[in-house]
Amino acid sequence: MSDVYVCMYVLCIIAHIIFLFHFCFQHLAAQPNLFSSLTMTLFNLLLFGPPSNHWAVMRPMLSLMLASESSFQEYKNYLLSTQSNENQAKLNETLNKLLLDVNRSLDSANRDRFTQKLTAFRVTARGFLTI
Amino acid sequence: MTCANTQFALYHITTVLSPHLYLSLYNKTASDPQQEKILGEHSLALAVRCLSFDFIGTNPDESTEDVGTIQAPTSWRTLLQDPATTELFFEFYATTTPPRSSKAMEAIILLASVRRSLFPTDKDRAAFLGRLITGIREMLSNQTGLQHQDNYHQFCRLLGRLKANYQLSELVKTNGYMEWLELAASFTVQSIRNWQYSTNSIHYLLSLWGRLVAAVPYVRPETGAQGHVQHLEKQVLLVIETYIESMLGSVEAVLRSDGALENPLDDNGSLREQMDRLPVICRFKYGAVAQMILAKFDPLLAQYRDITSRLGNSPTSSAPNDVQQSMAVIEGQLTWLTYIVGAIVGGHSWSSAHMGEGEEAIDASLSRRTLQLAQGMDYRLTSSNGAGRADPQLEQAMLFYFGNFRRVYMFMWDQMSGSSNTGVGSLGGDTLSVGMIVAKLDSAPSTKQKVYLRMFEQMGMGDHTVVANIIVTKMGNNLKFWPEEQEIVSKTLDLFHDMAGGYSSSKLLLTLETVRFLAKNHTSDHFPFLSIPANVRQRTTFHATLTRLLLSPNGEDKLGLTFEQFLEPIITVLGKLGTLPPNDLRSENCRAPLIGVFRDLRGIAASLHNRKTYSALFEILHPQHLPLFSKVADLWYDQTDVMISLLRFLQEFCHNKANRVNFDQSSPNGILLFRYTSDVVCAYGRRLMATPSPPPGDPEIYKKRYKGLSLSLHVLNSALGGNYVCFGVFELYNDMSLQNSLDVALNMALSVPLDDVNAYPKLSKAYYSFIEILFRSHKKRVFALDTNVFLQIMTTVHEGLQSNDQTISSFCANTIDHLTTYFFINQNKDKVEMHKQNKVRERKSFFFNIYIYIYIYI
Repeated sequence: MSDVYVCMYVLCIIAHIIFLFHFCFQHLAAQPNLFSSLTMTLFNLLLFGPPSNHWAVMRPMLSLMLASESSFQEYKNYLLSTQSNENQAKLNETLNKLLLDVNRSLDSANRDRFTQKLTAFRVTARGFLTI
Repeated sequence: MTCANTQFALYHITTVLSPHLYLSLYNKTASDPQQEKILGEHSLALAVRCLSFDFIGTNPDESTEDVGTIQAPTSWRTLLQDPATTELFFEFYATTTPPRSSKAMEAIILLASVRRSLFPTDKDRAAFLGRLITGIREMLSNQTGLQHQDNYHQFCRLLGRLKANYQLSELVKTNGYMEWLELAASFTVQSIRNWQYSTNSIHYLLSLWGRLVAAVPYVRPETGAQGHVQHLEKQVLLVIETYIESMLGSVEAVLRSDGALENPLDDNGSLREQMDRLPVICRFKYGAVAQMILAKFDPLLAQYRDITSRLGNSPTSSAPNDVQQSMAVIEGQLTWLTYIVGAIVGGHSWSSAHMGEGEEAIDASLSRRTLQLAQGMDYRLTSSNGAGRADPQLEQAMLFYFGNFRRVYMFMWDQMSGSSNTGVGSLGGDTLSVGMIVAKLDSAPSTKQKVYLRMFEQMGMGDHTVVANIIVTKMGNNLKFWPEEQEIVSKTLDLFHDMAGGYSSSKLLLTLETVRFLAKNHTSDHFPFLSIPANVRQRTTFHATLTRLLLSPNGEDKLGLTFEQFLEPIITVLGKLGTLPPNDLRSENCRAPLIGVFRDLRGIAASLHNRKTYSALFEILHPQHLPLFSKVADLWYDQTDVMISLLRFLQEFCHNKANRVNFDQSSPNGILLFRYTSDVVCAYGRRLMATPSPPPGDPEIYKKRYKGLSLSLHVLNSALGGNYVCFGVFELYNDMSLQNSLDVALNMALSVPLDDVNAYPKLSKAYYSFIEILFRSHKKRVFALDTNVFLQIMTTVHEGLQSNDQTISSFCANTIDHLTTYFFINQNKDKVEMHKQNKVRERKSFFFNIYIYIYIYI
């Protein structure tokens, strides 16, 4: 009898977890551009916002990028389109550098590496970007 | 625009601008005077804005008045170095009237703050400084435009700034330094004499003198003009003498003006600024300055004694008019002297560079007078049982002195007296002679200790315990006899709190009879200030301080009181309140005791810094008294004062600082604590949600609704984030308290319109930190929300991300991180299924069935 309970309980938890994720997914499906608008805001804050906020802003950027790689691509295209031809090449290079050596995981080493890259990216990009 | 671009643009603006200024100055015939005026004003405003641009992003707060060094870009060099630029502004100043002339002065102040490295060589910089000094000198000797208040104020700022950016050695070398110094001194003297018009500006002038004298040791006497140090000494003494004379004189002038003149003692900001500048200036020629002060202090003290002995036990207000008048003058002048002495003594330096110069002897003779005054005031107050009060301002000045004395001379008690020495400080009691203390030292005293001993020896009031006793007794009597004077009560308690915070001074306090009395009688029967509603904050400080003392090492032994005994009066009140039926508990008689008990407990809880002491309080409150809290929340939900006191106490009580909420593994206390907290939040939240919200735009809406709301979110946040509850157990054992409190809190949070969330900073902090905790540890609850509600939350988070407040934007950033991390991890796990979008619905209903089935079954 107790075995059945245990089995049920485990099943319940599994169902629960999968379910939870589907709820989450459903919410996000209702607003497909949520991640891309967040990406846009975070990058704008990083590049043009007050320096005091940078540490906070950088924190979710890796997970956001991994959760929605297309949002990042979208932002990249957008940012490139606002720049002159000469700057586009530079920007493209800087953006590529940003992703160098960063892999698809959220362990702390990878997070730290990405944060460093973001700092460097900010400094370089602010050198030539124009609004 | 990037930074480089901004600088470039600003440079262009300024280069374009200066010809414009020229034009407006010289082509007067060409343009219409009105237009020219406007043009001049705008170009100046623009120039000031350009110069004060935060070039390297180091000045986070642009509202501060004092500019630091201006990091102008190198490309501006030619423009700034050009003599014409400086002259242009000086000339513009001379030929216009405020507000344009004072704007020009502001521009000159900014020019005077340009970074050193902008100039290619020291010579260039010296030339630049020379031009500034010449300009200022001319202004001083011609008094150009200084009759205008605005110009005058900016000019004082300029004088103050000059020394900040240039070193004395550089100033000394400029042409006409001596003349400039003399002019500056006579300008200062004149300004101080006319204090009625310059209260706001005096501290800028004092800061110039302070900076000048502070730099003297670093300048070789042979550099620059002959005898410049002596010259400076002479001028400084003149300035100080005028300052003391004028401030003492101000008392009578204010009295006689019958309200027409503002009392400079009432202007707290300026007073503090002036006192900050005094120590350096006065200690430059300390001996001479002290003589000046004593020459004023001694006769005043004698007059004070005389007049108080004539008044006897009657209050000042019952005396004849002329006596009242002269009392007011004496007390007012003593107030100034006490402030001045307090400031100077507080400037004593224990760094080895300054020790051994005998300054402590002068400190001692000044302190002796002040302490005698304190004793006199105290004697009058106690012997007349509170009737013979001194002027409140004098009392505040005394507290200022005590505070400074504590900082400088109350940190060595434990090194100088053995710990066996308890009970010395009984009132007026046995005095340990200084010699006995020396005998107690194990080894030869260090220089520091010698200086310390010499100070008390010179003072001749007894050893440090006796002196501390004078101070603390006075403070105790302040608490007793000034119940309704909030400033005095709160300053006394702040000082008491500071004393209890110091390692040595807290040990000292434990030996004093007054402190023992306070700890044993911390109720409103003995200290009426506790029962005055306006003093509720002070209750918290008072109890926090006493608890801190009691729980310090050996505190219970030395005070002759256990923690339980200390809490007894509070627990008695709690016990009485706990037995009341709801109707009686909501009666008006309970309001004051409830507020009092919660405020006191909050102070006590704030001073618990480790597991042992926290558990002690918990054991006393549990199980008997904890249920009372939710009853009170349920009954008093609409009364802000009671609710705020309760919630603030709970916020403190749930806060796991220094990991103090740390019970045994087998103890259910952490869970119980959460349960009681949850009960309070639920009781209050449900009531609050059932009350209709005030109409939007009601100016009282924060006080009426959001204050309690954000506090209850804070309470829940500290309980949820405290790491002392395993939240899994609630679901496991079907305990609804977690779910209920989350539901209620979410309801509360979501009931606030988005605009209001961001309009009230305290509310936004509570809101976003709650959302962050939800996304961190209670995802299930978040994802189970309706999609629209979920998206509403995400919109606020998106909004909050762009907040200027760092804490808020980091809460939001973390919220996003929790969400996306979760999404990313599960996306990977679930990837295969994710792509089969068409099957999602089917699968969901399948799982849903299992889920429901299992849930019901279990």
